[in-house]
Amino acid sequence: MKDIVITRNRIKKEVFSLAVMFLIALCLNIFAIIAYDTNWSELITELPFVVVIALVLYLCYTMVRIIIVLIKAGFR
Amino acid sequence: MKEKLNRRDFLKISSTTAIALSAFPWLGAFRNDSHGQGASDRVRLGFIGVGSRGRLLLLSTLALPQELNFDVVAVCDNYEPHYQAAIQLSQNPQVKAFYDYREMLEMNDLDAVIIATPLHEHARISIDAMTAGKHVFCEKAMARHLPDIKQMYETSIKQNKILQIGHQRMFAPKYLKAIQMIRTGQIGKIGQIRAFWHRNGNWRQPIPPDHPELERKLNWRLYREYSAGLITELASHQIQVANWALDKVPVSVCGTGSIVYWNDGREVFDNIALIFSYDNGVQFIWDSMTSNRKYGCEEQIMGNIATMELESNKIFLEEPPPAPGIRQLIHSIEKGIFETVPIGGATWVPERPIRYEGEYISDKFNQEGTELELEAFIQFVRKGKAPENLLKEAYNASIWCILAEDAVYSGEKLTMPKEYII
Repeated sequence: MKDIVITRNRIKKEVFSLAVMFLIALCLNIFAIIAYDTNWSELITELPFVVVIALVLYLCYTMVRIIIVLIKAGFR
Repeated sequence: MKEKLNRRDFLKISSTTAIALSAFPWLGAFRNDSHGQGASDRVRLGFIGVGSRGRLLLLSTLALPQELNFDVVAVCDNYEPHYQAAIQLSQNPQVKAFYDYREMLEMNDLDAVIIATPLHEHARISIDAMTAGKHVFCEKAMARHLPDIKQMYETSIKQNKILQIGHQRMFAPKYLKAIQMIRTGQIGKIGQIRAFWHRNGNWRQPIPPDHPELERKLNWRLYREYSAGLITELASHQIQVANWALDKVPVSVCGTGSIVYWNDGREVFDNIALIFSYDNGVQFIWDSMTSNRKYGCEEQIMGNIATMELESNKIFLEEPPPAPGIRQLIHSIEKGIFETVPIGGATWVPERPIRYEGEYISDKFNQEGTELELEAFIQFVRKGKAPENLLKEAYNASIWCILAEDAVYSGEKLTMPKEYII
């Protein structure tokens, strides 16, 4: 059975993607606080929800990439 | 886990002790300076009627801290199994036991009695006890008939003896906090109060098979000679809460009742609905049934700003606090994606209930009040005096219970006879 090798580059790329998603979620939270005129303490209190959104975004991003890889593989 | 309160915590239900004491003077019993430590300050208690509720009162008393400086010196019950159980439960080898309460009242070394007999016996025993110079704690409701209630009240005043009735909600921290919130306008103007007590059970005590003659003695709650059933045994608590919340007494009551399910020879209704009206137009709507327990027991006080559900310790604002911004954003994105755009349709939308979790009225305390009311009673006995409004609350609740029963059976809307206004 062939070993699956995850390169350091790949790990870096994935962590970077996750960080970007977290940043996007955080920005969404800031936008929502301003737009809905809620309390700035939500920057902290809503962190678990922000993490969930970041994970959902990351999952969506990963699914899109898998679909692209599968389409590419189909054309080969 | 049940949270224990100390006196200081108890008085902290208000931002300042002074406010708490002026609004609820009976809380003065919980001040640290009200202790008596000497032997002459020792409060000697006797229990009359040690059935299900009496046993709970005895155990709750024995669970009180020793620093309260009291003794259970006598027990009395005319039913042998209860008599024997009371001796054992008293945890005092020197306890004196009686079958006849009149013999107990002859004791010189007895300061107060705690009465938890069937309702129809409350008046006679309480009056005899006060006349014999004993202070009295008596379970609610006060008595089976209006004149007896009045006589109990008058005897307390004439003999200058404490008559405290077992309305434990007046000592329960969540109720005290709720009433204070109502007084300070936090739920707005009260428009209606609803309360209900729903159970699913026949409300019967098991009768020894070889003693069928004990049916009426043990199941006294089911017979009109001894009790008004659900009204005196359950509604009495909630009428007291409604009166307390409104700081008023009703001006009229009407109601209806029937035996819907438990057609087992009982005389009292198993299904009752009552409406009490107050002079400011507010209605207190109460109902009870004993063949369904989905909605349990609750008092709902509805103001134009908020609703309180006291048994659940919850307050629900009419305008619920907004959800956190990020959740509102996600919700509106979801709505934009998934919600259908109506082209034509109904112009009327049903007014659905406001659904949200609500806030806790009191976030610290869960005690239901029985131990606290007993602790207060011991302190009152030591001082020889209890706040006047404690008895007035109980008096009005009991009077309106009996009037409610009369209204149900007569089918009329009844008001309080002048001679019973205090």
